[in-house]
Amino acid sequence: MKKTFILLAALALAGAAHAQKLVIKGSDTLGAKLVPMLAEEYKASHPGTTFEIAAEGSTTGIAAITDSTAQIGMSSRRAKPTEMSAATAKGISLKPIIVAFDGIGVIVNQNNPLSALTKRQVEQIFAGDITDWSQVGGTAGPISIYTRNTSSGTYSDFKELAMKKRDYASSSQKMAGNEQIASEVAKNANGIGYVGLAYLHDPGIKTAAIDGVIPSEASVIEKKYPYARPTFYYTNGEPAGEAAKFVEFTLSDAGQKVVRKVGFVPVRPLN
Amino acid sequence: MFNLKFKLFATAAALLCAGTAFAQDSGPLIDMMVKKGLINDQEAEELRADLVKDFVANTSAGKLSLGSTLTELKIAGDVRVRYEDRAGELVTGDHQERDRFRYRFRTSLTGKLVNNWAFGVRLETATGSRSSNVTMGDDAGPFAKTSDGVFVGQIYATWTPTSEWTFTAGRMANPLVTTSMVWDADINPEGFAEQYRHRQGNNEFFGTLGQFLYSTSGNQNIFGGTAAAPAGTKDLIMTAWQGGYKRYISGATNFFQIAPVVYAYYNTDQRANPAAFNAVMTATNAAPINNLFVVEVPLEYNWVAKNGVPLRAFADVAINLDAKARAQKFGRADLNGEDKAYHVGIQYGKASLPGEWDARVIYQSVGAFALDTNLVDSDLFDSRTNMKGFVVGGNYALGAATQFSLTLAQAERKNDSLIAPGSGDIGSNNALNKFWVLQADLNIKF
Repeated sequence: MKKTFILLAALALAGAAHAQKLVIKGSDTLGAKLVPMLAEEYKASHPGTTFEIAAEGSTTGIAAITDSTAQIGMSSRRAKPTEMSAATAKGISLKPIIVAFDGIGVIVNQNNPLSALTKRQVEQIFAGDITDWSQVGGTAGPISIYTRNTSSGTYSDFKELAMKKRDYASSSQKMAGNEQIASEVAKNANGIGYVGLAYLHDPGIKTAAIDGVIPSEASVIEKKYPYARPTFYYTNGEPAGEAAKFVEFTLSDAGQKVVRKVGFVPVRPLN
Repeated sequence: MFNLKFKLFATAAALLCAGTAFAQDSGPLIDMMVKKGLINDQEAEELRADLVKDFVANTSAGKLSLGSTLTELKIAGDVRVRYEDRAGELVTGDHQERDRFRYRFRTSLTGKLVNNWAFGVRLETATGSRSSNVTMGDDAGPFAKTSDGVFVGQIYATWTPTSEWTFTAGRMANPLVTTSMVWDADINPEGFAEQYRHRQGNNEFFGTLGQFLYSTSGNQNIFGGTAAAPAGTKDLIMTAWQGGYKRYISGATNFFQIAPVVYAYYNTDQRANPAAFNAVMTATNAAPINNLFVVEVPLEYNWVAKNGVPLRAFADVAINLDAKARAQKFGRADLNGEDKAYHVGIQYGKASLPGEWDARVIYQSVGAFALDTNLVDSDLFDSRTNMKGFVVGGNYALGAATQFSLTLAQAERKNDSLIAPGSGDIGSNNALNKFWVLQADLNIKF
């Protein structure tokens, strides 16, 4: 009887130990589609693993590693020096791992006659120097600018990549995610916004070529598209345990195929 | 002799050895190393991270430790040096002038936090609600510092759960769309504000609710209090209810805006409210806020002239719907028509970039019982109601951070049979009949 009890207890403990939970927080760009799909694929081969995924912006992902409230932080931008400093002060070593590349596409309403802009025009539009479509050769009408909110990595990446770090126009409207921006631009004939590659095919919008280059897997890999960027997992030092396995899976061919399927660009050429 | 590959390797090695100095400028070089195939993207990211870590560990800037919930921290402020000549004339013809040099310093620390929270603190010189100016030489001794204190002008927290809603609590910048006719721009009300803003195409709708603690009574149900004398039992609260509409006509610079607002005061019971504002307005005390239920309608139209210069036409009209009772309690029931105030003006240009200038002219007329005299602008018409007159002024941008401003205001009593109530800087003599002020300012912003 006693032996049976010990055996059952050991089995229960082994079962509990086997049921791993991965907490992943951060970027909406990664967390809305890509990471949940990776998690589903991963669970197929690791049935004991459960996931808690919160996609509330890159800032929250990096803060989660610093505060040790997640094993993996998703970020669509690099950690800022202030974030590195905060992490170092707590004995955390932020390690970036590139998991996919992304292009930030500039989108306009599908009925907008314009299909191309220069980098200079994009900067001037989003900074508020240009306020009417007629100033860039379009049909006269006030430009409505849609941006991500300030906790988004895409918000700061776009400032850095496209706006020479200038502030957005005060009239710009801040949206919670890529889908909301695409939806607003689709509804507003005078709208302009930006979204990740995965959202460029949403209904009612079209993508503007920038200096003649359309964002695509090829133009991002060849580093020809000007608003391309890596996206990251952040961990505390080298990832360990289940987090290491999930990172390994993300970078594997199977994981990178998911990356491509969702609309991002794999970190290396795939067959 | 040395090919590019060798040079880049050498540079990378140098970067790693002297990362502190180069960390902030190494991005383009690392990008080039990736393009040349010397390192891959992942190695480049690890190199970047190492350089930044080195930077934060070994530089004074990097040693500044900030909370992990902080996403942005900003320090800003301004310094102003002013020459002012203020003068007044009583009904008797007696004349007084006040010639002074003044300075003002304000600095703010604002921060954005995760989950859409933010905070702000602003320190400013001077204690007054309607001024942060310190008068030079206004001390207990030569060059003493008795009037040179630093005070908390703003301290607030905000939560912006969506792009449309903002909630603010604390001592804040005035959240209302208004003008100097009703609110002195230096006033930072204390309390709570809820703001909504939604844009749909060219139409923008917004609303602001404000609950401001005008004055606290201290304790409630005080020891020894009686039903007959319940003084100091309730906080005095001012509420604001504003709805607004903005119509974009062409871009961000051509629009029309109207933003009506209603002000209602609560707990103004004359036996219970705080003493300073108790009782009724009299010839010697304009502070009481009895019988004020003010409706204000500020509106403006902005457009760009053919020569590219921005223009702005603006107006503000207000009426105190309870002015009849205020006039009656004052002892002049015959003056129940002194319930209205208006302010119209036009501005040419905008002094934003170095060398740019603007000029404006305003006409303002305020009935004696139309507005709360504790809130009206302290400069233009000396904090008083029952005044009418002109304001002309302009700004010239000397540089990106410096501006020179000139303002001249001239006013006289609107109704000669009545005092011009208010706590003016030219003296609290309500027999003031004429007033004028000249201000020349050098402003520096950072």
